[in-house]
Amino acid sequence: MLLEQCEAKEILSVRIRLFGELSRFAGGRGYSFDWPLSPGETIADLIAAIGIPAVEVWMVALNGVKTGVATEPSPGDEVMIFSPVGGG
Amino acid sequence: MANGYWGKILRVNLTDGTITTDTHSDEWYRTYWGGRGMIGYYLLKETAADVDPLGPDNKFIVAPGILTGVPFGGAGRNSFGAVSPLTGVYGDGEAGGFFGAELKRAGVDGIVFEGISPKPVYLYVKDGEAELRDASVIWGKTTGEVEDILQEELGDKRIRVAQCGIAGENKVLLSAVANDLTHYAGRTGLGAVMGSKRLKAVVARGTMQVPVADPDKVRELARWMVEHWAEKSQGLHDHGTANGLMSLNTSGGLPTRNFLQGHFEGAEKISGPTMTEQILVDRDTCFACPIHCKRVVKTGPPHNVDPRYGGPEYETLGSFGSTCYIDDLEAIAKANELCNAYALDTIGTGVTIAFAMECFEHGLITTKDTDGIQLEFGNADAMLKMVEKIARRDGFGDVLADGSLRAAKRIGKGAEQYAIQVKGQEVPMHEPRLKQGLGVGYGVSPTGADHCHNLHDTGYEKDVTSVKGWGILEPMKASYLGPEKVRLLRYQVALRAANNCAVICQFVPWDLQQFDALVTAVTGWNNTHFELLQAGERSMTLARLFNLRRGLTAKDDKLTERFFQPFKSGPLKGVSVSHEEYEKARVTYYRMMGWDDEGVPTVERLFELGIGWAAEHLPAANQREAGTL
Repeated sequence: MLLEQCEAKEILSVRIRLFGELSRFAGGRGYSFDWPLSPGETIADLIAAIGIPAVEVWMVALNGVKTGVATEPSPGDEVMIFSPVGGG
Repeated sequence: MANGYWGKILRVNLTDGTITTDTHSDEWYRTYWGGRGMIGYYLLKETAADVDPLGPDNKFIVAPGILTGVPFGGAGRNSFGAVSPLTGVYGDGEAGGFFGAELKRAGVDGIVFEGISPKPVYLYVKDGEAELRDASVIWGKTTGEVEDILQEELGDKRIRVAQCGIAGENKVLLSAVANDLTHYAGRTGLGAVMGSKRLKAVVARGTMQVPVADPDKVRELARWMVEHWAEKSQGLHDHGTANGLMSLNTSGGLPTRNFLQGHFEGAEKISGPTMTEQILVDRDTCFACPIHCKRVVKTGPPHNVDPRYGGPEYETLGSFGSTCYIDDLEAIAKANELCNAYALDTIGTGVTIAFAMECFEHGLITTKDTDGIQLEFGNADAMLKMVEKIARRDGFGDVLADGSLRAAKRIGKGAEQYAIQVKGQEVPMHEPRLKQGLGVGYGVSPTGADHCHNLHDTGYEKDVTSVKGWGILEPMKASYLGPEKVRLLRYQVALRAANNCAVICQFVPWDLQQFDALVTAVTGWNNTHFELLQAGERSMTLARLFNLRRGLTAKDDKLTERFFQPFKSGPLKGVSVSHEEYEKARVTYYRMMGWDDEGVPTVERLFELGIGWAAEHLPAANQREAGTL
């Protein structure tokens, strides 16, 4: 009984990487942090949960490949979120 | 008593050593502002149509603007201008740092250099006084050595120096003008113009306060930026302009392998965050700016990069990194250090080396031509050797020192297809196949390919709040190249040109209303935003007229053929610029600008911009009176 109670429930999460001007929405977590992932959650859901206004997001990528915000990541995936950046 | 300017432009005749003063009316300053407006005015009025860019009749113009030297973020910059020896047409560039502000605080609105000095000289401007001094001791020295020697000679550590490097002395057409060792006016080969005049440096020391109409308002705006910059520019502070590299790579628009690709496998190794993690030792800034977007990097062996020369901007990471197919961050940092020590344009130099790498790959040149160097994509060592050789015009460096287009003509055998340039100036690190409006901007730019007086389409796909004041109310895809996009391009170019007349930095996030307010607070004019955009457009139109007089036509507003080829791989696989769309957009731009279908401003448009006097410079076939057919 005790062992079952002590058994840690597996925490499903993704790696979030913010680019451009999004770090200010991350509540002090910086540019790169883990975030819990629930089944069926899309990238758009994650963005909302973190607190990034949708209008600030220009592009997202899953494991380095550009994708749409409706994509559902899997545990252990890396989600990159980009704000629009100009030139220089 | 004027505000924002002194009413004093120095005229320095380097041939006979005389220094006189040009004075202009208040109306002149309100029309041309400074920066590019000043440059366009002087080049059009005072050079002949056939002037030799490296001869005595070219002008080298140092142009701060009406806002320069007033203590708020972004007001440290100045423009430089001349007839470009690289493109043969109108040339200008800007650099930040402190020199511009110091020159303005020394009581000078600008300097027009003409002639050629019999021996190397530098100009020393201190609080209203100017003198030419012997530069034989600093000739042949690196930019860092020059600063040390001048500080010693003048007994003042607080001087600010603009200089051409060893590259400029050697009339390398990719030479930059350095401000304060870490800020470079890179484009159009202006360092070579200084070198051709034996003008090694301009030294400024200014303790005067630039007069402003409403000091309280200036202080209020300056303080606002100090308190709010992080809302828009935290990433820029944290990772520099390199902040955008992964974004461009992931979207498929990072110039890679001489623009053959838009996605680089090694991008993470040369990104902004990686630089911050691995080699960044400090963040630096310009006069009165709270953002600190400048990098300071240091490495150990083998490259031992000297932090004195700052650190790579995005353009440099792209040009020596992904474009040369190099993922060695420390080598790229070394290339940046070398370019800064010699005063070379990192964009032009990197892209010209990539051109040579592609030629090498196709066997158009071999190690026999390249002094034994295996000039292959990905070879960082070869790249670094070529930077030195270009600066010194040594061996094969002498071929590349004239830029990729001239080098291609020398090499022959079809090498021109590998020279990625517009009007002879190398294309910077922004892909027209991602940013379609930018491609048109490259084509119509008077200075050749340029990403600064241009539109970055990717910034307007989601939110257009910043441009609603121009009546642009709907976002547009970066891939769209219809008339609405051309309209956005036109206004954005005018705004950026206004930045370069004022002269203020485009990275400090002043919105349109604040920019107007800064002009009012400094000058005391009853200015409007319409007036601001006109000032910008006026300066670009003067440049256009200059180029038409040099013999350029609409045919020269063409975009490099490579961008019309689809990417074979990456996030933008299969995407290209369409010839048909590009041509339509180009003509749309002309018509929106009030030009005819050959890209010639109408007489009426010149009068509308308040420069009816310039109509005499229109091509003969376009000469007529306003209102006639």
